Amino acid sequence: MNFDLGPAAEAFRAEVTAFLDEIDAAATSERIHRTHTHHDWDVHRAMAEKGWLTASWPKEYGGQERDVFEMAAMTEEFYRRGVQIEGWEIAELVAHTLAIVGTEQQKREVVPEILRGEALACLGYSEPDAGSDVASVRTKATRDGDEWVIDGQKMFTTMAHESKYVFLLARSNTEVPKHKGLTMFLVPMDSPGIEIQPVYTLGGERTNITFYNDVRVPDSARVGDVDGGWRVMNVALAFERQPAAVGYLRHLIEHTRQWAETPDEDGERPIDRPSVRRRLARAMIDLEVGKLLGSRLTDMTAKGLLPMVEGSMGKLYGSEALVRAGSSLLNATGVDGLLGGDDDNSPGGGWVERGFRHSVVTTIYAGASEIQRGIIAEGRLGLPSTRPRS
Amino acid sequence: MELALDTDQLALAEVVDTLLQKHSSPERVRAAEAEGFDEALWQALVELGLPGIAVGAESATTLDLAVIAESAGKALATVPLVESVVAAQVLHGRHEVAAAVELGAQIAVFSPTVAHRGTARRVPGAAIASFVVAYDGERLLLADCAGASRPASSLASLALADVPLAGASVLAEGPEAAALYAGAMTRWRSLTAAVQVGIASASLDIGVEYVKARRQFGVPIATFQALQHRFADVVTAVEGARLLAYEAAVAIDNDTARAQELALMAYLFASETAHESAGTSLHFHGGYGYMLEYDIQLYFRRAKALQLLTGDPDDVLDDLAGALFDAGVTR
Repeated sequence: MNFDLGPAAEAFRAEVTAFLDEIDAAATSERIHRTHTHHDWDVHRAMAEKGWLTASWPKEYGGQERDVFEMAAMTEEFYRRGVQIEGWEIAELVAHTLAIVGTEQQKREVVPEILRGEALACLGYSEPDAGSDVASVRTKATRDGDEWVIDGQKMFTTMAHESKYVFLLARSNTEVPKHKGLTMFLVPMDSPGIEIQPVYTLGGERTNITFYNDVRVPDSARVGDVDGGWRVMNVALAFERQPAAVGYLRHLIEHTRQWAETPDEDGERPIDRPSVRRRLARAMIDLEVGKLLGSRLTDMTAKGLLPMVEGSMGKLYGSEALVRAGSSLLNATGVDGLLGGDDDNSPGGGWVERGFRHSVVTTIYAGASEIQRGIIAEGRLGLPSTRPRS
Repeated sequence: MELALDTDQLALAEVVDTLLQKHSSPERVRAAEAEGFDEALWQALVELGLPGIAVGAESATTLDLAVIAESAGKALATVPLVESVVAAQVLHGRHEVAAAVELGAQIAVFSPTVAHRGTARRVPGAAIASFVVAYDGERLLLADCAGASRPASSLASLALADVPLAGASVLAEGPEAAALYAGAMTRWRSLTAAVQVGIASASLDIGVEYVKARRQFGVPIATFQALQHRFADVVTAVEGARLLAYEAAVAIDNDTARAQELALMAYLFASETAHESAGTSLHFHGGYGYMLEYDIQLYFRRAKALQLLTGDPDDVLDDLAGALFDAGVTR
């Protein structure tokens, strides 16, 4: 048994670390946070130049063919240093999906465009009335000759304001069971009839509501079969990488520890107080367990296995641990935790307070904890489905 | 990275599971409760090579021992398995009783707490062992259990006893003793974590099986989300605890800098998980979970007892903090 990522991964980690030092990760991270958008075009272009957008892709896509261990090391370092690449992670997921189920034109033109770092794609799944029950989406796609007309709205279309495309799940058939009447489209964001409305969040990042009013797209914008959208979405799901929460947890712990190990004006270090030590030690146990459950996904993927229940377990544990730690570690900072993250005196460069506010989205998105628990109960323990029939 | 056990380890687990199905059934566990020791089980394990396989040039790895320990936990094996293995490792090449101890002819147990005022206290297995290996803060000692005093009643069947250390032989002193004790504690924690993973895993299986069969309101209670969601949290923690216990064992085998902190983490987390798992399953048994006749209470008590062997878990968390934040402190 071996828990290490291996020498190739460690070598790549060193390269990534050097890059993050070069771009002054701490300042970049602060700047990205203040723009409220989890994406920075300068960082994105710099990564494209190093070939890192296609780091894990095959040579035929201009990729570096790095293995899952190297990619795990890279992801770890980006999250550790707080340099947000969630915008890229979503776009890459869409590119992977198009490479498998896209049209020839999408494979030939859109995928390379995304991989060159020229275009981003966002996800249009959730709606105001469809979150966990994503199969019940109501945004309509009506066939009109060689075109489709799209009408409706999408909620939490994060990065829509920076994206060239939205990967949009729409209802194409109301006569069949809900998950059988969906079609996926790759819709250009500059299509007439699309409106973007910013939504500001507790964690400080911006997302969007997007409105689709009589938006016309050619049939060539369809991804996969008519009424085959559910399957396309499941292909996309298979490319969701490591649970992000573990990376956020590591970042939160490291910044709290930096604060705790710094003597205060009385020359005393918070980390010498039992309550602070215990909170940090507890969070570090959770980090280790979260990391191990994530490592299991890496190990399985490397062996060509498809993690199903294991993905749910990793996501559930990591995000719930982050929520626990977000509160606990802010508690450790006492009344200084009351300072907003933007204040110069906010502990840990502001990242403890920000971490607290951000943590609570992680148990909600990418499948809420309750959904994950249901998947685990059925998939791992053989317990009967509790979903209402509809 | 390789997170699967190899074929030898899987085979070892199967051999031990089969042995324990025969020699540590619930009936055998109950029969051994009063004394806290199943002699026939001990003999069967001795025949398998314990504790001697844990020492010497061709010894089993800590990971191999963790695999055995997890099986022992699943079956609530009522012998001081971890304490006797760790004691054998300490005694090897240090005292003439080592030979008999390694063969299982005489039982020596390691005390996982520092002796206080000349007595090793609440030592698991000391009530039935010949010897105890104990650290008093300065010296690592080998004491005869002849004068041991056993509590009238205890939470779980661990054959606990207090052992006076007057007249004990000195195995080591000063920094050497401290280092030996720290290393022994790291191994004890890692292997006890594996035992707790076994307890947690078996408790979960018992609970899941029960709720699938039990009907109320016209349906199996397994269909209720409240139960399903708690079990989902438990199984996630059990699988995480297993990985952590194995990670600690591998770190010990590779003698890495993180071994001590990982063993502390594993022991803490696996103990909490065992408590949570057994408690959840007990609760979902309803009134039956509270009856002595049902097995889940055996797991619930054993999980708690193993969690307390080195003291208040919050003090263990303090030890972890020390390992994480105070460089070079021996625990």
